[in-house]
Amino acid sequence: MQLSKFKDKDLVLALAQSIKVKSKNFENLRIMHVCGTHENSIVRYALRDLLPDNIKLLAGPGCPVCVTSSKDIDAIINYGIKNNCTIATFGDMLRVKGSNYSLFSASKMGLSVKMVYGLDEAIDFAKKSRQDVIFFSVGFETTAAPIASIIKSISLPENLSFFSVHKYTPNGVLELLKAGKLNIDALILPGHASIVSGLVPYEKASSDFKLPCVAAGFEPADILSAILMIINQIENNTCKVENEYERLLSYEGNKLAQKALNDVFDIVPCIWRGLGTIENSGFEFKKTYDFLNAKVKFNIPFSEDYIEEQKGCRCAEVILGLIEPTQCPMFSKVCNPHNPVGPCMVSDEGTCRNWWEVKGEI
Amino acid sequence: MCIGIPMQIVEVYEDGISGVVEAGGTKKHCFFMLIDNPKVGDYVLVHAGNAIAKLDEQEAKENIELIEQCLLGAKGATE
Ligand code: SF4
Repeated sequence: MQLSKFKDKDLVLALAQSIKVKSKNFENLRIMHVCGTHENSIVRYALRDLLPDNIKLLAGPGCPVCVTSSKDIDAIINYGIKNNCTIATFGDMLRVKGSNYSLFSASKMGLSVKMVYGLDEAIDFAKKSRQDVIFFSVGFETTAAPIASIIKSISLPENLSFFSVHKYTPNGVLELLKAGKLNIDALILPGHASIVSGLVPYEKASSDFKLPCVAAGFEPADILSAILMIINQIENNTCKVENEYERLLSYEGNKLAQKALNDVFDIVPCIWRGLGTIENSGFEFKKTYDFLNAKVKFNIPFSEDYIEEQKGCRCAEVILGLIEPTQCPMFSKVCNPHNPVGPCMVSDEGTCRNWWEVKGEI
Repeated sequence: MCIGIPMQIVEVYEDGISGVVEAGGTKKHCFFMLIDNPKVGDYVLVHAGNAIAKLDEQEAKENIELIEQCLLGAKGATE
């Protein structure tokens, strides 16, 4: 599969040049993306350096690990430590601190933790384990849909259950817009999450908030094209949802994935770390799946006494695109990937972590 | 975790919903519940151990054309 065309230097520079020429017609343009992988590409290919000063490319709430609430992290750690069970989850979830501990630091106090790359590994592990295994199930629809489809199709070991902290991007973005929390002129829609949801759920964001929305792939030419498409919309006084990532993404999305999600999960209000409770933005297991919903099966207690932001950490502002990571006084000094203070410094999809790769001091 | 990786299907198990995918010499177990008709040789986008979309050479070509058109449109407007 030839993807090098989407990195072609001449094409990338031509796109950047077009953006530069057209940007003279604008004062300022604030374009937000909501995908950690987009931020990763933008930083890796230094795309911000190719943009004129009046076009600001902002990283929004696009990292599922970063928006996982301390309330959930605390609950799973407390339950796991007091009970004879193993918590299985993805690697980038392990080092995110809740109020006091991360899963990783809690493992030093006796919490049994298993890092997995996918649910298949958690299933294999549970089959061999005599303990209960709770899969701390984190991720946007791109992860929630595969997990739903596995739950529907595979017979799972009885000792495996799930603690869902899955979140639904389109509704999260929409509710943040409704609450007036996003100061933006346009949106770049997430390429891979939208493969699942399709682009239909973003129509409301576009029409109600007069936002040009363009779904983009992850190569440099993809992201710059999406910016150019946004600029073209603004010039033509239009405001619609467009698809730059046609090679993988269909407007309707993946119907099999949507069905799996609808069969297994209800959409519920849920806490996004630093952003508070957002209506209609979380995936929780339907009642019919109570038998594998760890929160119900084990009646896991939650405390209202939790700390989302460590002292001085400004992740909430980073996630809303209000400040850049380098504006946080702790960036790279106290806070770095070896000692992450806030969640945004942990995952490859976290904005602070991505910025540290190029702007951090080792 | 959320990163999608393009990989090639090298084996489809008898159950038809799982098998093995490969990229750069690395092989991995993969579920195929979310794509229609998985076949050995297909390129798929793998996300957390599941194929969530098929990649198609023709569609990649058309995508480049879309970008070029967008660029041409932009040039036309500025010249
Ligand atoms: S640099 Fe660290 S402390 Fe500052 S906002 Fe980012 S994660 Fe939080």
